[in-house]
Amino acid sequence: MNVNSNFYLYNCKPKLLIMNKLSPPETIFALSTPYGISAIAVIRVSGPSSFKVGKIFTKKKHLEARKVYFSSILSTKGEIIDKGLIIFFKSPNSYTGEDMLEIQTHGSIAIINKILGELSNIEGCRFAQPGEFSKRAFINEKNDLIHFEGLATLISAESEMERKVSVKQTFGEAQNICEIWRRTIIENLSILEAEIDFSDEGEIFNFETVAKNIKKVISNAKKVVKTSTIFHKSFEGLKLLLFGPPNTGKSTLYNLICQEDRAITSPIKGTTTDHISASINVFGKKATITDTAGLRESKQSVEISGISKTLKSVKLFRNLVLVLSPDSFSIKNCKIIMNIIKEIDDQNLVVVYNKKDLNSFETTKRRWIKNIPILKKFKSISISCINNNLDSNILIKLTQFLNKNILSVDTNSNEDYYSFEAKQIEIINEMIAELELSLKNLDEIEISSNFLAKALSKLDMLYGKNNIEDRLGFIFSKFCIGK
Amino acid sequence: MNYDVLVIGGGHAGVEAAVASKRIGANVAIITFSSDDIGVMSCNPAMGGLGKGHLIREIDAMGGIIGVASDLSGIQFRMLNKTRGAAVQGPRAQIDREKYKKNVFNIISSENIDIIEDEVIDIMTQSDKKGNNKVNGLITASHGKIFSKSIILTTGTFLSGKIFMGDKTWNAGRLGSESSKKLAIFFKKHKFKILRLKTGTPSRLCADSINFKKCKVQHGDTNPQPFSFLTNSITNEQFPCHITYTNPKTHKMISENINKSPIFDGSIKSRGPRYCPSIEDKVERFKDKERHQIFLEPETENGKIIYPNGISTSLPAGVQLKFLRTIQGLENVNVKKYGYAVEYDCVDSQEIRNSYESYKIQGLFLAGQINGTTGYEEAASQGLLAGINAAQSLLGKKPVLIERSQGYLGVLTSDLSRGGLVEPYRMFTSRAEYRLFLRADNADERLTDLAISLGTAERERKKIWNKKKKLISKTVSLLKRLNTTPQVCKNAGLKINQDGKRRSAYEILGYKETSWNMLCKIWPQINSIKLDLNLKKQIRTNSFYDRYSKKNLAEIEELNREKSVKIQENADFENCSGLSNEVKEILTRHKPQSIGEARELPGMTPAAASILLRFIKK
Repeated sequence: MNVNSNFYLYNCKPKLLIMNKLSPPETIFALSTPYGISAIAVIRVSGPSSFKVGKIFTKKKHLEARKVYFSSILSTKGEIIDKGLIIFFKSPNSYTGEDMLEIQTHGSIAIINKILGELSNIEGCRFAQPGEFSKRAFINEKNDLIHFEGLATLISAESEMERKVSVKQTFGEAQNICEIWRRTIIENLSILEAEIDFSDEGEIFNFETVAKNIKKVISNAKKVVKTSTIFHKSFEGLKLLLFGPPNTGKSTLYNLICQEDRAITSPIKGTTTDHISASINVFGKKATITDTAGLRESKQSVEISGISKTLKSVKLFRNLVLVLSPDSFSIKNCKIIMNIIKEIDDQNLVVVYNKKDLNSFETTKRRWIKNIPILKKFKSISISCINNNLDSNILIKLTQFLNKNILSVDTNSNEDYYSFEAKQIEIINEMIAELELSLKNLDEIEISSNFLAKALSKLDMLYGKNNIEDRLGFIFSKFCIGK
Repeated sequence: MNYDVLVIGGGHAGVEAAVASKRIGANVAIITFSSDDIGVMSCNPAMGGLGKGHLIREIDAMGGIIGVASDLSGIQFRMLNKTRGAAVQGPRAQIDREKYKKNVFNIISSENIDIIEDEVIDIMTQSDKKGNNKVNGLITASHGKIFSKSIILTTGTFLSGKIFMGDKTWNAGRLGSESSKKLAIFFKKHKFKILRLKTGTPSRLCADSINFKKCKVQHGDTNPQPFSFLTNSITNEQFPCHITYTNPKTHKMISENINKSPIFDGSIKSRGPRYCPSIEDKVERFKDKERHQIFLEPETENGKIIYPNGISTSLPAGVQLKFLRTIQGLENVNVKKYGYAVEYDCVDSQEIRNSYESYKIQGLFLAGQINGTTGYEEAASQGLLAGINAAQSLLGKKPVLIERSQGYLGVLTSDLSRGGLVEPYRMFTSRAEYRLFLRADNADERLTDLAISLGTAERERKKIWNKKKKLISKTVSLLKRLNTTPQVCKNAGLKINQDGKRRSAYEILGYKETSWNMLCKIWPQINSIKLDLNLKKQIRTNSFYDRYSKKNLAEIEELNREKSVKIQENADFENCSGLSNEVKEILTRHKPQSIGEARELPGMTPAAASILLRFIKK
């Protein structure tokens, strides 16, 4: 999954472009190359603000169309982000048919993030939905560029291809499982329909089986959602949360991990302003590390609000790093940590015993474990961050530890999972809701069948068989045609 | 002679078409072989049922005659699914077919509709400057030319009909009637796409040869519910039906002679309806079923002829008699008329617009079985809509389209416009996406205002509906104003979710356990509402289903929004690059007015729809 669709998940509600054709289109942007470390990264911008964006980034008064500029790429505040190539395309002579800007930079995650961040702060610009560039090109008649005939065949291919397109993350089985649900729902819906429309004809229909079958689909779908969600989270990129009492050295740890490569560290303020996050690269795995700033700031005592904030974060993150140190030991802190650990559900937790350099380290470590017995259950590492200049191995040790005990846990166990994308999971969840209502109302079959039919139409959305607009939207959003 | 609207055929589609056109103000004549064919029920002596009963209520709400005529002629009324929710209850009645014919004839006469007994030889058309074909009139065998700008064809199964009974076959639409071969030539000449369908009918039995004591009695409802919103109560004498069953002996008899059935020996190639299989089909396909149910339905009040519903057949007459006599109660049965299968041509309904006007010839409307449907109710529905639209077009007004979300009439129309039927089309409630909203009980709420605005509603209907509407809206607005807490409901003896949410009296009324009396306990002022029982029930039903159909209604809106992108009248689809020639042809022929309409066209692909969108954007 590229960064583009990640943002799609969080930021964008799908809109139908064609419906909004009266209002001027928004300017969209996206990373066109894979997200990660590479020689070159290409970011594309399309829409009426493209020219403005070009001027902001280059601080040039004018950009000639189709001319390659080698220029410093500057932030709105004027700081140099990188040096790279900028090309402006004037409408209609561009891929989408709109004004477009192409920015080629070094393929560093920090630079990419910085530029995407800058772009999203420019008025009238937003992240593109998946496939939106192609869709715009399509609507603006850029036939020659996107091999229109081929595209049309591809979209109109009714069955097999369409399934492949809309159920994208199929590892074979995902598709089968939808078909099994579909068949079960249709079968049982037919029983209800027959009971309604042919009640007079002496056939006896068994509703108990209907209930049993619906229940089976529900539990099956729930399982799939759960496994998909886990898979999805690990696929999106791993997220680590550092937490613990004040003064345990979380910040130092955070800086240590991020310091290793300044170039790939770019603190972007997250949605929760109290936390600081950075992208890191651990043995090729993309991860985000977050420090619980709420605790960081209240140095003297752990305030109630601070605890509840941390608690909230703990629930949100899948991977947790508890940082403890000898000098932060207190019975009160033990209680707080106990309470937090109680809330941990199916998340991963590891413990870092920091400040190994202190004399009391071993004794307090034992006291931590004695007061919080559950700590024994979790993998732990003892380190010292203070003299990291002297001990360069510490970072390697730490990252190895994190990699082995947290970052690898999710991905390894997921090979057998059905994987659906977030939008699809949302639909499956809606289907489950309809199925549950159907089951609940089974003694009133017209109500029950109404919900069952809705469940079916949800499933149809997954396959894109229901509404043609939905179907088109689905294909365009899931399949980046013409790239 | 000159008429505004000519209706060919006096069956259920024809009479509704004639009445609807007439009420809107057209000068109308029905042309039929014989005036004795007006309102003939050619198959089973019953009206309504699930889906079909809904259609009758809707036709009635629109001012049609099928409901009134059925109420006057019904000899056994039953509400199907009585124990289930209102949305899936379907009114049904056994009808005295002689009475029915008489009643329909009386209505036609009272509406001052001319009846011309004649055979139609050809339909006259003329081309305008643009090369569009328009109807001009008819050529008849004895009356010569009759001129008209609108012709509604409702010729049923009479198009190239061929009857099969054992190894015997002959051409006819219905036993004893001629087949309109000449009209078949007309359709061929104008290159209408024709489909061939099959249906069947059972033998008719002499009641005096049946031992009813050996059969199960089935009575109608003690409190018969009329079809029509105009009928206060059913006063006709009510008669029972009887139920008997086939048995292994019957099945053996049929199996042994199966090769004598034209369905199985290959003579009949067209497909019959899956939902109405012949007894041969039933026996062959469900070999492990020990018995099949047969309803012995009286065809008339005097009960002399019995229609054995459930055993349509095309076996030779001798075999029919033999297998009938294996059935309990029918041991000594005498047969009045033997069963047969009929194969007939129908026009592929792709040929007609949503207004039932043909694409090929302006002013030519098709309605009823000729479009591939089966059933009196389905035919009557189309007749009504074709009649309305024929009159509308003469007045230069836009066609009247009923949405799928508005009525089964809309479901039927939109299903038909897709065309390509493989079996005769019959209405089921499961065809309706918005079944909870499209109920038999609220057909007037959904459609009568439309009927009044069109002019198809009689004065009496207008009066009844306006009064009812006023009462409902007054009551509902009062009930919606009153609200209370769950605690109060609980004290009044109502099981309700104690969530602290205030609920209106209207909402509470919809709960299963609530009664009007309970509401009065909470709000004594409700006592002052004077409503008859039916109206009270109606409001409760509305409230009950509102909970579930609100979401449906939101969906309907969403759908309408998406569909609303307009296509210009003069759009030249030929110039739309990227479309296949097939799709161009479809669009040129059907001239959709919006993206929604275009998407519904048979043969349109999603890709084609989006190419079209791009095209009309220019």
